[in-house]
Amino acid sequence: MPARIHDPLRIRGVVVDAQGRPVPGARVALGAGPAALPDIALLTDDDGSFWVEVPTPGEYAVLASTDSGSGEARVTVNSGEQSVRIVVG
Amino acid sequence: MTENTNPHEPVQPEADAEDTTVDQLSDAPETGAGGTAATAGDVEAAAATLYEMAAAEDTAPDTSALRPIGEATYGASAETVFLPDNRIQINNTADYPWRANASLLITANDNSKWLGTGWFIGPKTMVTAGHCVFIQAPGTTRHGWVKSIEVMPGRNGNTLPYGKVVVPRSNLRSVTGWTNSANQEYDYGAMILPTNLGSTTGWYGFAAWSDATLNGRTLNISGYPGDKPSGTQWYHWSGIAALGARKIYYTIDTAGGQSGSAVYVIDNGSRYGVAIHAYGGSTSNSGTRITSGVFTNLQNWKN
Repeated sequence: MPARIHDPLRIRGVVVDAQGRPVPGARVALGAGPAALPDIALLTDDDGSFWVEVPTPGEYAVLASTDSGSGEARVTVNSGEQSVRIVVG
Repeated sequence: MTENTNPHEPVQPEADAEDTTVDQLSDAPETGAGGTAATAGDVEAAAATLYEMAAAEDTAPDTSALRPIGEATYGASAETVFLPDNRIQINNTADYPWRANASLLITANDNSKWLGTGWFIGPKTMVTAGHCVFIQAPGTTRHGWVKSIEVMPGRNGNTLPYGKVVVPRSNLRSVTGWTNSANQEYDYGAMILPTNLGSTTGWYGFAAWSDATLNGRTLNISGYPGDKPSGTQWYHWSGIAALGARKIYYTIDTAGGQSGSAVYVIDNGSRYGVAIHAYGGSTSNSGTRITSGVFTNLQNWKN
């Protein structure tokens, strides 16, 4: 098990449409941040939710894409977990 | 007898195995059954078409994708698509080499679903990023070897020209540098498919090349980015931005979902992977370089 330099840093979020309804199966990826980011994408759960760990404190751009639209949100993670809501459309 | 000790005697460290300058090349790639896309020197023919189209146009620049001016104040941040976005969609995914690339649907330990890319190096062996087969999230139910991976070679949207194969956890491979140490320089892995699907699709060769051999080469990537329509394959290329002992850096546009893509060179018309794409960075993206240690593992997983 790799040693952690710090407590886990996490972004927890939900992807919704323009009417505020959760979007399951949206493709979520970290598009920008203060460190190199793995180029893997995560699918939101049935309730539109997701969580992902980030490597270091800083500001991140979280991108969500569906075949009918996309959205982006920026969140700063200094410690622990930060929440984000992304509207796609 | 007095020892002759010369305090000025020069010394130097022994060369690290990864620093070897002996080039290694796998067997020639196999193109499989069916059509083969043409190359145009160091790039795919699809790239040459883009150059011709750009040269023929005389229009105002498209500024719709420019980043907000505020970003200039707050400094660079890790981006994976370097504007302008010149990625090319591949529609003839049933041709080689495109069909040797696969869209991956990954089920992690906690049943979360992830998207990645893999590429065949043999009849049953597909290479991908380490973080596609083993997720680093210590202390959570997500951490560890993923449960399974659905492999969809040559996928084009909802079309699966070669169907899909499910690879169970027991058929996944990686290295302790990734699984135990989460070291990005060892972020690579493989899947051993339960069928010889690679014999139909064909596969890439792979190479561990010295800096001297790699310098000046054009790098190519084709994979499945999540910011494009679902399940579509996209191609891009660039020169080498930098060579590290265990990583290669480039300005090829990529996005989340392309982790695991082959970073390949076209050498006399044959495609050889030289790195495994893994990360987006502030000024360049990067992949795990195929060094002699990586080459040996790929060879063993292939056979």
